[in-house]
Amino acid sequence: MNEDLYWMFIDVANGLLSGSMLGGYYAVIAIGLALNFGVMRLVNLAHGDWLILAAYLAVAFLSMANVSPFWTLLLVVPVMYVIGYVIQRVMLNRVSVQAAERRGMSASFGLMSPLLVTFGMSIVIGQGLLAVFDSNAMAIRNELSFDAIRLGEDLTVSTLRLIFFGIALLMLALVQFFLHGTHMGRAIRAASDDPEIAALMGMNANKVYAVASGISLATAGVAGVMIGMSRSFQPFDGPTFLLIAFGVVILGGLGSMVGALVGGLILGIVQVLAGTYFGPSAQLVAGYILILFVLAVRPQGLFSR
Amino acid sequence: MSARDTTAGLRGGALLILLVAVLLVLPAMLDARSYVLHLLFTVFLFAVFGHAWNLLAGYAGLLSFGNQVFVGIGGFALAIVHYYTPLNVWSALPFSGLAGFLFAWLLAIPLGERFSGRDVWRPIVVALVLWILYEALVRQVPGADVFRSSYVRRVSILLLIFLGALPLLKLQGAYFAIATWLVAESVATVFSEWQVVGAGGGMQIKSDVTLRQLYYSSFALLTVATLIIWRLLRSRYGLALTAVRDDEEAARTVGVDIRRMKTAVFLISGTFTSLAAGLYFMDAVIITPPSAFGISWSAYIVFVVVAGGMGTLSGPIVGAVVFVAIDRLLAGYAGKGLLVLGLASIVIMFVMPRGVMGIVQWFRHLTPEEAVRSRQRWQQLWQVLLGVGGRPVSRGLDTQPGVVSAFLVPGSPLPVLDRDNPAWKPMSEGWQAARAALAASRPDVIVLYSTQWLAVLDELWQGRPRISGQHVDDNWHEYGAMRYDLRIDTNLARACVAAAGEGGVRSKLVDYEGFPIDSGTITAMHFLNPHKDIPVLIAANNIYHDWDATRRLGELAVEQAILQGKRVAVVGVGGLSGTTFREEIDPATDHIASQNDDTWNQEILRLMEQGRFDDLVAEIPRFAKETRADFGMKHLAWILGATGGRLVGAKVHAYGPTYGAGSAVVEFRLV
Repeated sequence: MNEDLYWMFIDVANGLLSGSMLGGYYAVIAIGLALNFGVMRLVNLAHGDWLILAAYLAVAFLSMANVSPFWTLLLVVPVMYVIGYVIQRVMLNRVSVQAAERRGMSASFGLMSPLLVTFGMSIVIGQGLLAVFDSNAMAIRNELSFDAIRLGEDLTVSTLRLIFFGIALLMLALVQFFLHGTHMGRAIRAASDDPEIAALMGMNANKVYAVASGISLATAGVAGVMIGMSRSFQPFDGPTFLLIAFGVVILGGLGSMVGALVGGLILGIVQVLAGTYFGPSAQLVAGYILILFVLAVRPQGLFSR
Repeated sequence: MSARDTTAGLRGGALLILLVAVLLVLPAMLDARSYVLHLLFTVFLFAVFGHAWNLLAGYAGLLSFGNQVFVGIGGFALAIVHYYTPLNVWSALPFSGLAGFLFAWLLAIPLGERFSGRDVWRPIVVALVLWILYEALVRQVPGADVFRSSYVRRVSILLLIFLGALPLLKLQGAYFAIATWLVAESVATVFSEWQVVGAGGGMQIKSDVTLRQLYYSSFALLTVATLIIWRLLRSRYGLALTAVRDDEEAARTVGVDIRRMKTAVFLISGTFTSLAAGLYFMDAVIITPPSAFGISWSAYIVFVVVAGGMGTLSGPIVGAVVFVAIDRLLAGYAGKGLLVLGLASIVIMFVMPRGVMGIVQWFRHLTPEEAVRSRQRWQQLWQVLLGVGGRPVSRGLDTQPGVVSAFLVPGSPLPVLDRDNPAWKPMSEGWQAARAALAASRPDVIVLYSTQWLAVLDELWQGRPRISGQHVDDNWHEYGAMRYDLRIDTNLARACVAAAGEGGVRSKLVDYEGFPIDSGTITAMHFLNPHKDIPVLIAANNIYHDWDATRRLGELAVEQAILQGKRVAVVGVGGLSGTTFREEIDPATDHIASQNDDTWNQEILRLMEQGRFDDLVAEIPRFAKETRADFGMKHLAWILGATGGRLVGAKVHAYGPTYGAGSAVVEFRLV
């Protein structure tokens, strides 16, 4: 076979493969944002910072107990759930459009205030992490970091990324089942479709939102541990991940779990291929351009109704 | 304008002139390297940043988290021109503004008339051809490559073309916010690779500018920015702009050219941000991509505007003072500044969402009644604090019993049943306004009378603690069922039954499973109490009760509620003119059945608005006769009785047809 053609094939195959793996991991990063966005029409600008907070929680936990990083999920996920529930209950429920109306503010202000509050939260979390931990890069050490599974002579896939991909599929299925197969899940969807009717049916929308927010942050907990295991992180990395998550949600459509996976895959593959052909810094730019492009063409997402 | 306003305006103007004069002579009195001058310089710059952002967010409703892109571009434009040309730093400053303007224009052009829609490909093709020519030129003459690397060249040109084609200003809300952020991030990524600007290492702007020069130029910039924005807002564009912010659809229908408004505002915002950034980096000397394009710029700017008051002209200036004060106070705790600013801006959003200027305006725009009430509250507060003033204040300031709000609302279920009909949409919106007002008055109980709950023998009061089910309206059955779930204040209902009996009105408590609830009550509770957190007292419309009897019932119900220490929201459910269409009509073209009805309805509402309730009562019999008004407006009698002469006016949130009949959502003003 022609040597050049072979390497071109390998490049593309590697790009598709590791791009898909990256995409699964992106999907997990985005699930929480998609839930928030889809259910409450709330863009949580602190989402990225919650991910990083979760990663630091895992680090703190591991410094106390010498176990496999996967065990940290048992602590991180419930803690994040509680944080999400409480934050929604005591803060974010009060800055909705309706809340602004009650205080006699204009509707446009009502749309802005959750963005402004979560933006403030993003800064507080980042700065808080900086104050507690240092600005030094941290990572969750694990023996899998450099393991790879060899699929062909020049084709490998990172074991860690493969596990993450599995976890991603599992989580997406769980959330999907939760939303469609459980009482609370249906309540969440009802509240997102028509808050007024839902209220009429005797649902406490504030509580439903709080649960949805709790689940959103619980998934962010899983994503945070994943981030920590696959790369080093710093207190201010949140916004980067927010933009990735937002990109996935925009690509996949609002509030759809299948969309999150598809969006993650597209973004991952495009980034890896751009990195392969144009150099490492093109990864980020290509991602941003892709997201802006979709925003320009179909702001409601590629795969939404 | 009243005489009082004029004098206040003159006094304000005099104060402003005095302030400007002091700021102008201040540098002469202070040391050339005075710390105070530097603080003021920083205040001026951040006020300009704030102005620019406020113009977008506060007036045009475009929430940007990417204004740092203009900071970076303005700063780097100055650095590049100063470093690569013989121009001195002051001659280089206009290039900051120019670069900001051009970049804003690049982002805004797809909105322009010439490049919109299908023709958008033309400039793209031109740009692509130019790019190819440029690539060819670079191949021949490598020195022509201003990007100094083929990777940066290609990425930047691609990015520029893409940003040019991106219809950024068409995005709304969170999409616009994140898109601006992405634009800033992607430009930052390119800048940190660009050799010309020192790659990631940044550049230096060495110059011999003095603090006094910086002070005066920043002061001039702030003055110009303030004047321009003031002029803009004073012009008819200013009104159009706020219209765009509050309701883009509505603004479009009244003929506001939204594209031009948004473009203009965006260009002004970008230019001023870049100019201020030029001055900022003259002082800072060193500029790096992270320091120039960082998201923390947005954090600062948001704080400045939110603290000062979004959507006000003086907000950013006040906010900049607050910002610099806090920032410098915290300078001792190195690194904690942003943490506190972030926390502070969250707290401000909850505690005083209109910022400092909101509080100032709140004091200035009190109506006479509000002023009286707030003075009373201050007095009560002092009494509590000082422990003086006779009567002990046992209750909290906001928990005194009595009527706290009163509403006249239509009983027609149509806006609930078909919420998509445009003819009934204003009614739904009126309901929403009433709901907000009702919630804001924080009642313990809603005291409700619906003309549609008919009773014949006795006066009936609903007495079942919780009553829920489904209801199909007799007339509008084809629209489907309404669900309801009501919590009844049974204590109050029992007290009312007892009191009415003593007063000679035979009353009965109804406490039966499945007792029918009328459409009017369901509709009112659906809209007014969506969270079902406020219990309700429901009284029936006994068809033999006349106006005065109904009035006494309302009076009695509120008396009993006050005896139980409750805050009461009074609601009278019923329509205005009563003629409905007998034949099928297209609901979308619904209108008041006759011109006469319409005129009468409006007359009645006008009397309410003007607070002429005696005239209103005198007119009611004629109104009822002429328009077959809903049960002789007995629901109004209920309201008048319940509020006991405390009504001074009204706000009509909505007036319109419900299948020909007149309906209105009215919120009364109380003293």
